[in-house]
Amino acid sequence: MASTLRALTVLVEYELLRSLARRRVLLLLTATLLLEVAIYFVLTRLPPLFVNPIRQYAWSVGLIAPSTALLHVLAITIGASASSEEYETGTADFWFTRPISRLEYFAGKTLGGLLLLGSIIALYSSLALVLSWYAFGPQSRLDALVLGIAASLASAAPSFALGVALGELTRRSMIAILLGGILFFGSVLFQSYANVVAVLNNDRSLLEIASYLPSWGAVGYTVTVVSELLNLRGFAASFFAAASGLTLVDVGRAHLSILAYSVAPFLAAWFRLRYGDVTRRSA
Amino acid sequence: MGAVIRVESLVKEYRDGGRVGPITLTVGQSEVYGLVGPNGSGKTTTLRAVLGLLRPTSGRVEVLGADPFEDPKRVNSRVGYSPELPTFPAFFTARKLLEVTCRLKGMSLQETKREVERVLDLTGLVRHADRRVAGFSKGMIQRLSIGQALVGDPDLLILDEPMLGVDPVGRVHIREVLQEERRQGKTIVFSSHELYEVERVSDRVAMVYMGRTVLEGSVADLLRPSEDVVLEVRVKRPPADGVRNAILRTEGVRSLEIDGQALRVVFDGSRDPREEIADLLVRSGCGLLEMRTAPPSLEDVFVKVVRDGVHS
Repeated sequence: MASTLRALTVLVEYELLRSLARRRVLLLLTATLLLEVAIYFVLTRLPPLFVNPIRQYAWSVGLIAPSTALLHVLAITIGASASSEEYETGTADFWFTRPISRLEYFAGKTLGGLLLLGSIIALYSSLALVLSWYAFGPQSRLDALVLGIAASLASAAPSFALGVALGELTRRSMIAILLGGILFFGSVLFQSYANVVAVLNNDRSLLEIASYLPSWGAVGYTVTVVSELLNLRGFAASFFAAASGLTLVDVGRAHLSILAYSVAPFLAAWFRLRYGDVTRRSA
Repeated sequence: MGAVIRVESLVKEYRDGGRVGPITLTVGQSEVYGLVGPNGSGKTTTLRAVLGLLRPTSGRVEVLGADPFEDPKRVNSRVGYSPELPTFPAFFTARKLLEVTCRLKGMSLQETKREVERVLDLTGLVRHADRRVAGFSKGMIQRLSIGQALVGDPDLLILDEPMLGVDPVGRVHIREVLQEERRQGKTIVFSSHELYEVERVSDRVAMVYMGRTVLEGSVADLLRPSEDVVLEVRVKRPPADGVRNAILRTEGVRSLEIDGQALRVVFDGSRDPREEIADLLVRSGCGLLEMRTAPPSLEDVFVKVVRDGVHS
């Protein structure tokens, strides 16, 4: 038990330091923070009619906006890098010849990646709070902010898991990120298309199909949870759905969707790691 | 003497069609065991299977009583490994790398501090302890690699081409470190394509060629001068083709290598052709400067085995 805790601590610390030493992650983090600044800049320019209903909850906009796309790009990138870059750089040999089990390695890397993702969400949410306070005055319902951060992390789990699985299967970070992006945002595109067709034809069958896609729960979860907590369902539905073409989701089904699309890729990654060879650095 | 490593009929097939094996070898307690063979012969595959990094397609690998692929934690807690081309996290300093290894081996903070200083001192890296490994030279990386393998006083050291890319001074340093470990009774397995290096430090040797073990035994047995005798000759002028062919036709001569003024003749020991060879060289005007018999080296043995294997 003590040795497992030790291994997890070492790997989580390593994963955090490693990710922060990577330019790719730092660039995405910078883009996310700039997006926050841009969001609040635009909000201050909107007519009061739009802003007044959410004036005291303006922090929610900065929390929700990245979770429609940028958060998932970050999650795929962090997940794919965590699993594949050790093989690419040749450091996999170092870790797999230390006294740690493969399960400890997998758990340590995964926890480290999730912790990094959680820290990034906490960081941009804090920035959102500071900016909204500065632009719109005192903010309320900060208890919902904490739950919103947790919901964002949960909603990013499927894209993170997809990145981890593709990274482990391909052992090439760039290929894994591209494939992950294509799969995830292909799913988002189909969902948006289904939404439009459903509205135009008054046919909900496509929406039913779209609800089984990996992006369905992941993209709609944070906005749904935060809107319900703040009793902003109607406003959020019109505000975010208009912006992204997505609808709010049923929370229960979203839980199932997130769980299924997180567990399946994690299992695929784990089986590849457990029963596969530790490949050497590619030339 | 219990076996520290037991490899039985190990076969590894790769997706690209490459195949190594069957390899069979046993390494006993406190042995220095050399795995030799040309590049691409299967040495690294064998070592990686022994470390649990590869899953054998068939056959069995046992290290310190455990299956390294199924129970790597148990095996790696008692094994130190230095890879062929060591690569460490680039943002780690040498000290951090050793500290991480100490922590994973279950050492306390006090023990870690002591062990890190010991290894830095042993590998001559004290001055570079707080530099990032990304800035290390090849030789420094190799020394650090051997150092991290020594952390925690492992029972078994596995070194894959430990002298690769190391300058002569570095080689002497590494050799001294290995000799010290040997004196302490450690089991050491190392691979090299430099047979002279292996011959100098190994008790036993396995020769791997084209993915198979072609010979295994103690260095003394392999070099027993029962068969081939090596004759080293120095002449004034390199012999012409005619003389060369005449030497090769001499009864008992197995091979002839010419490197400028130096000739290396291997004969089978059933009869002594030295007088005939000397006569040939003198009569052809090559000018005989020196002639002496030398003990056969591992290289001679390996070449003979490979040639005999190819011919048969």
